[in-house]
Amino acid sequence: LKQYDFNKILGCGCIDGRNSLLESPRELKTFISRAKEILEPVDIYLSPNCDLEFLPETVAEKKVRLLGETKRLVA
Amino acid sequence: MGNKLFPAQEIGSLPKAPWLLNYLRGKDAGPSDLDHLSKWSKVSGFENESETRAILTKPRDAANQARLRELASIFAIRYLESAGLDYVYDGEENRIEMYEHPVRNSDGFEFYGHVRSFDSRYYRKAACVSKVAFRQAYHLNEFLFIKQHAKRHVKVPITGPYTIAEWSFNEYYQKQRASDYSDFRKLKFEAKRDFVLEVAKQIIQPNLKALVDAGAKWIQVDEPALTTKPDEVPFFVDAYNECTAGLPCKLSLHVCFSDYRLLYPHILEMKNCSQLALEFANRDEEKRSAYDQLKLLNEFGDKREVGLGVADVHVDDIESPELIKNRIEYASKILGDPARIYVNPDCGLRTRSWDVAYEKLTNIVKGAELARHSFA
Repeated sequence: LKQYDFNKILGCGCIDGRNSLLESPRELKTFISRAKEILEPVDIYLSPNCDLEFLPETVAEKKVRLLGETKRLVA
Repeated sequence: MGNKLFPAQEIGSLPKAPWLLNYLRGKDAGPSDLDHLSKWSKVSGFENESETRAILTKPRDAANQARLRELASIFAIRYLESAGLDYVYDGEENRIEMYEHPVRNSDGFEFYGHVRSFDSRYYRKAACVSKVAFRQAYHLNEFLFIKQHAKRHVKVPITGPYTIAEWSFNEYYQKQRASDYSDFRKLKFEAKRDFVLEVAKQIIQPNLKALVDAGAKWIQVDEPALTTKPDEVPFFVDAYNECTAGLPCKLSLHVCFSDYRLLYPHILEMKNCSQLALEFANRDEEKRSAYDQLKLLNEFGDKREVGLGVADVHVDDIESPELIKNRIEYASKILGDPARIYVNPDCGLRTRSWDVAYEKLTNIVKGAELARHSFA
């Protein structure tokens, strides 16, 4: 991103929509802090890396909640 | 099969007998169930029609349910035999389906709910949450029963290690490797290799061994997912070799609805595999171009037998014996050796009706007979 002088909003796919394994808030924080080195926090949108339709509903819900928690953690 | 050209075989599943399903679901047998039972008993020479009919009116206790399952197995064996197949099984009448059956009967998996497979189809996808482990030889009793009742040669279909892993979420083996997130793709890739190899070693190997010890002469490894991630085909080959090494049994591989080029050159390294059963008919047209993919085998010097898919399992149109004969002849010309060809439907027939499946199977047998004459 640095190399190409990226100046748009980044949809940051930090949650894996293809595995039911729940990411830990700590590893998400580390991941997002790397994006924060380059972009302003307002330009980082946290999202899954693809849509969640290939996850069971219960897992998808947990992942969406995790995104919310992660935002509170890094904001 | 001696020297008979073009032996006919089933690839795996049939629809479930409607009277079995209704009985297990607590529904009384209706006229259509009884018609189904009586029609196919006559056609196939099923010897237990009256016993089956009697159980359908009895209480659904464990003993009656178990016996009805056995009867459904014999019913399907006779159906396949009377269609004229040389190699039969029981249409997997008593398996849940090809994914859930092995996974529910092994350790290390947990089911969270339904997940879309394609279109509006859903399946219960499990997550691997701990080290996978063998719980029981989940096809053993089924095989012993079929072996006792079948009048033709028996070929056992079994879901392969790659498909089990690919159709599951890989939580455990990814967590085991999750120390470095700098390259997530690589992490997932390596965790997948661990998963596939473990399924082969811990689950498939003991299952295969149990079947061979019980007298299985031919086992077909089903791998419909094999080319989903082309760079992972080598995982399968290693896994396959791991779980089939030294087994004194004929082994074959069934792959379908795939670009077979993606299998090469990797599958040349499969040591104990003497047949590739592949699907072609559904993508065929007048010039037989679907079967041109067989040239791949020549290109790579692959001399194995081919289970030639000559009937489309996803449409109700019935292939004529002449069309099937034509497909066999075309394939024989490409391979240059008719003795390497077995004939079969593209895949399991479980999505067709019993009527359509039967017509397709009998025409495969007739088509093979016509082709045999032209080579005589």
